[in-house]
Amino acid sequence: MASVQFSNLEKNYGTTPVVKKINLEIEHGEFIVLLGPSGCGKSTTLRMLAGLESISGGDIYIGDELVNDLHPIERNIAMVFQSYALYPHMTVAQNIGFSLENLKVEKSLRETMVRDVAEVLELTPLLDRKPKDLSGGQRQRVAMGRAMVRTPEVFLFDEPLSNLDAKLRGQMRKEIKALHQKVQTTVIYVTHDQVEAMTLADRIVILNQGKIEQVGRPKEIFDAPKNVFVAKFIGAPEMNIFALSNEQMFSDFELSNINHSGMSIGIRPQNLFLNKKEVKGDQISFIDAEVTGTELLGSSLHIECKYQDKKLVVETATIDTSIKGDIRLYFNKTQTHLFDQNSNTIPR
Amino acid sequence: MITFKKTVVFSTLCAALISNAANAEQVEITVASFPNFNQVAEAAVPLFEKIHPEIKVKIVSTAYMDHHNAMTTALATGANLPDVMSIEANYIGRLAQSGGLEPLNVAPYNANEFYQKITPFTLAQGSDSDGNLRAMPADIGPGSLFYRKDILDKSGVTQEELIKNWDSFIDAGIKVKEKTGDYLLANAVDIKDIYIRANLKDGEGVYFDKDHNILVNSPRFKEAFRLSKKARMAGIDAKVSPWTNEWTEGLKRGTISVQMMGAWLGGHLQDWIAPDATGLWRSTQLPNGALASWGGSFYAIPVKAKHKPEAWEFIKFMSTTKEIQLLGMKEINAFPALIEAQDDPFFEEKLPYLGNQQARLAWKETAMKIPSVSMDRYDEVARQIVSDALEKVLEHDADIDTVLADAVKQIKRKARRR
Amino acid sequence: MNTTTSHKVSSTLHKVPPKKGSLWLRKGNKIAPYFFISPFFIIFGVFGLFPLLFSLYLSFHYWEPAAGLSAMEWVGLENYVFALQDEWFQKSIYNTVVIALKSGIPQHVVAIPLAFFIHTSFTRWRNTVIGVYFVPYITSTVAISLVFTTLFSRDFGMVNQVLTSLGNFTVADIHVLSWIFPVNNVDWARPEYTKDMISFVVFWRYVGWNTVLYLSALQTIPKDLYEAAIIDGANRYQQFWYVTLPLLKPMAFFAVTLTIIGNLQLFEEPFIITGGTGGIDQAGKTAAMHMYLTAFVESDFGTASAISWILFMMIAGLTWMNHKLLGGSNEE
Repeated sequence: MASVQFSNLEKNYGTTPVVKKINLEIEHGEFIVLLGPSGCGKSTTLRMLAGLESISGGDIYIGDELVNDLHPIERNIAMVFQSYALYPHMTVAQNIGFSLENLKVEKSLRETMVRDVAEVLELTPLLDRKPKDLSGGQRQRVAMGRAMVRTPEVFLFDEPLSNLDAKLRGQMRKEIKALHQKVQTTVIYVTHDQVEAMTLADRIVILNQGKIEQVGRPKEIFDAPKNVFVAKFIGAPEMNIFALSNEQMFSDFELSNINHSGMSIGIRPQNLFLNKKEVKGDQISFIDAEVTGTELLGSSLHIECKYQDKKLVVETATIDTSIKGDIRLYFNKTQTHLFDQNSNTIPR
Repeated sequence: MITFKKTVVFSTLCAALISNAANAEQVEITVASFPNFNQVAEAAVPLFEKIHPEIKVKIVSTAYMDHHNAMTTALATGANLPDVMSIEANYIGRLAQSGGLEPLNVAPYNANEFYQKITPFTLAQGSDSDGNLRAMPADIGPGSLFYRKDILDKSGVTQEELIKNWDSFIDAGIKVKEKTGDYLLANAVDIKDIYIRANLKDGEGVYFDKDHNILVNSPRFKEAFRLSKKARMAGIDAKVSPWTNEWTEGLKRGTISVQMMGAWLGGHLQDWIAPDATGLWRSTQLPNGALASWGGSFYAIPVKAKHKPEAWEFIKFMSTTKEIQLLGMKEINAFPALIEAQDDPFFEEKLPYLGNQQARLAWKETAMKIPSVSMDRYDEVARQIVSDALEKVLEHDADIDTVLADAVKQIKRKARRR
Repeated sequence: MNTTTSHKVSSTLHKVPPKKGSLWLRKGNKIAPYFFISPFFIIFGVFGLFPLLFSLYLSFHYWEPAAGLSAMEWVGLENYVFALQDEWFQKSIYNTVVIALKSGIPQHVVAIPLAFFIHTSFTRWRNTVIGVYFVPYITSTVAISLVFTTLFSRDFGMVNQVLTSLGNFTVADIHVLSWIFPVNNVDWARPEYTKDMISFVVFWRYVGWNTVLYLSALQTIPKDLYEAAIIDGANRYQQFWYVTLPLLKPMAFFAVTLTIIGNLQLFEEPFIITGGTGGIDQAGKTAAMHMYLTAFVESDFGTASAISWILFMMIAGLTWMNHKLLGGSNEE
């Protein structure tokens, strides 16, 4: 049983708070992704959990045990570093077996364990090589092997894929996912890449400036962002959000019955359509906009438009770069998001 | 206007020409020296330039060892040679034999005219093996024994006992050690150094005879070694080397009660080693009537020097002028090589530091008696090998006959290219 | 005058056919780089290459330098044979090796943990601490040696004062520490101590230099590796032994090479400490000192050159062995 619990977790560097009273409960076997822009405190949180960083306030529990003052090795965690942090003078086998050696595991047993892990990760032919003779993906797998061999209760990943190229990243994502399904251990995974977060996570924790903005399943986060920050952070291109500044807008979005000042409305570029029949559902509405530019991405086209005096982006599968002038954009009213003056979502 | 201008130009031109002529006549000579021997030359230059306005003297002084290395290199390459080269006694044997220095006893120098005026033994030092004078003596270091009268009195040792012979010298040391706990001498090695130089006949060398035969395996050396060893075994030496901190402190505090060295040590004792010990020190002869010299300085002219006549003028001035020789004595305690200077009333003065002894007269007497030891190119090599051999005897209790026989072999090896 | 000259010049310029002029220019362009790079070659030639070749040439000759350049005499390998058979040279090599080991090994054994300690324990004062350790390296050898000879003075030195005061420390009329500390002043000039004293000075002088070298190597080891090691359960000692030490190997190769070269050429410290003599029984005479004394005291420049080349070959050999030992790690 290895659940993880943060309660009022704090970290200050001098007088600068980096992590502000985080409360989070992670269940056993869950794959949690800490997602946020750089400097949001996600890595610091992970490192506090690992024991590499001291805690300024609050408590961390692994299982039922308070681990605030425990040495990393006593926490029974394993970590994969962004740089992999492989020991350059050791072979792959030695890298994987190093922790076992420190734990005084008997040599023959150690070898079997290393071999087993290598088998899982398809590293067997590489066991006698040194890290510099491996490719980026292979190094990544060694780093994971090093974490796995100890059968820890919690796996920590600190932006493990950011040093790989896009293609390898996709492949490694699948491997990590598969691995998690196989070992069924709690995983806490830090990244700033929302694709990784969406594809890997059971639950995503969105962090911003040391605070949790939203916790939820990937679909939940995408479909029902709690506030403007989350709405903008998740999804690419980012959600069109603009203040409702005149009557025309209220009527366009059929919001005349709601009387609220300082409100904004948001709609994802994927939810705006050029043809009415493409829109799913029946609460269809439209706005008129003027095309100001296009951006071709191969399989899709981004159309930059002007609605009233607001900028909008539309993503469409229709590849027609010659599109110009005034257009009508259709959408499903249920796919719009309303935010109050504090940027929080108004539930509908 | 024009005429005026012309006159001005003409007169300026004339003046320039005249001064140019004067400049052309004035020769600048370089004198290479080392501290503190250079002080004598520096003090003498204004007097010299007054007498010889046509010669300008430039003194270049570098540290003792650097100076002699530089001179060796300069002679080797023929570059950067000074007109006048100062040479200290330790290097004179090698440089005098090198053939790079002018023979001064022949024309145009004719230094042999001065031979009668100069302490004899030092002329032999400055000469090569063919008897040509290669360097003119400037000062000498007649050997003397300095002792602390108060300590000897306390130990009940008389001066006669101290210097009667070497065995009684050592016995005196044992008494001093018993009575006061002080050491008699700085290093037992000193005895060897004096003994091997003592009682040489004129023309004999310390390590080699005239035909370059090695004299090291001889009764003279064996006795020298025996005495050193005896002194060491008796525990009467402080086992320190001259010019180290221990040595100066030992002399200052009186834990070393006897030091045998050049007469100039008196000046050093008075000036800086033990300035507070006025009246405590005495000077006398070396034990067993030994005669030896410590140090001494010379002037030489390199064969490839540019201004030889002027250089010779300067050397003559430094070595054969009574006033300058006395100046050296007063400046740096350099004992004059010129006999005339030794006859000055200055030498009859009683020295308060040495208990009002007329010590200078005694030193002068010693100087006249020191035999003319012939120098050899390999003297320094032999000296090193012999002192190495003695250290084997003193440190490792090696057999004297064996180490001396070995020393002869080593000297033969090193002097292989005679 | 002036006008006529310039006129002449200009007229000659005019007469020169343009093609030739451009040819000269092209040549000039080819020559220019060599001209600009020439200072190095000239200086290297005069101060580097010439002395090198001359000493090689000299090592096959007998030469009494005071007699001038013409006095050289070809003797073939005799100088080498002589030097190798010379008892004093053999002794000086022995001394050199002993001092090199006694000063060299502690230098590295101390410098590596010291660098690790400074690296891990100091943050704000690190540079000051390094500076303190580095000071001996940039201090003049003469000053250092004088300070140490004063400290190690037999009768008046501080070292003996401290040691004997410990040795004479009494509890109930018994010298309780006399079994480990001396009761009487130790004469450090004795031949049995000379090498140790020189080694100590050399060690003291260069340990800071090596610490700086190792410290700079430590700073290139990524922090991640230590964190990974912490997570892998390595304690501080294991981190040092399994992470730090192996990663210092390239720097260790470099530092040990410098130590080998420096210690085999050791000259200044023993020269000044022993007053240029090599000490009693020549116990502190290094090979470089022997070479110097052969040249400048015995005036045998040929043999001295031969000694310097023998020394060079020894250094080259040892550096090669060191390379085999420490340097080859990357090729594995």
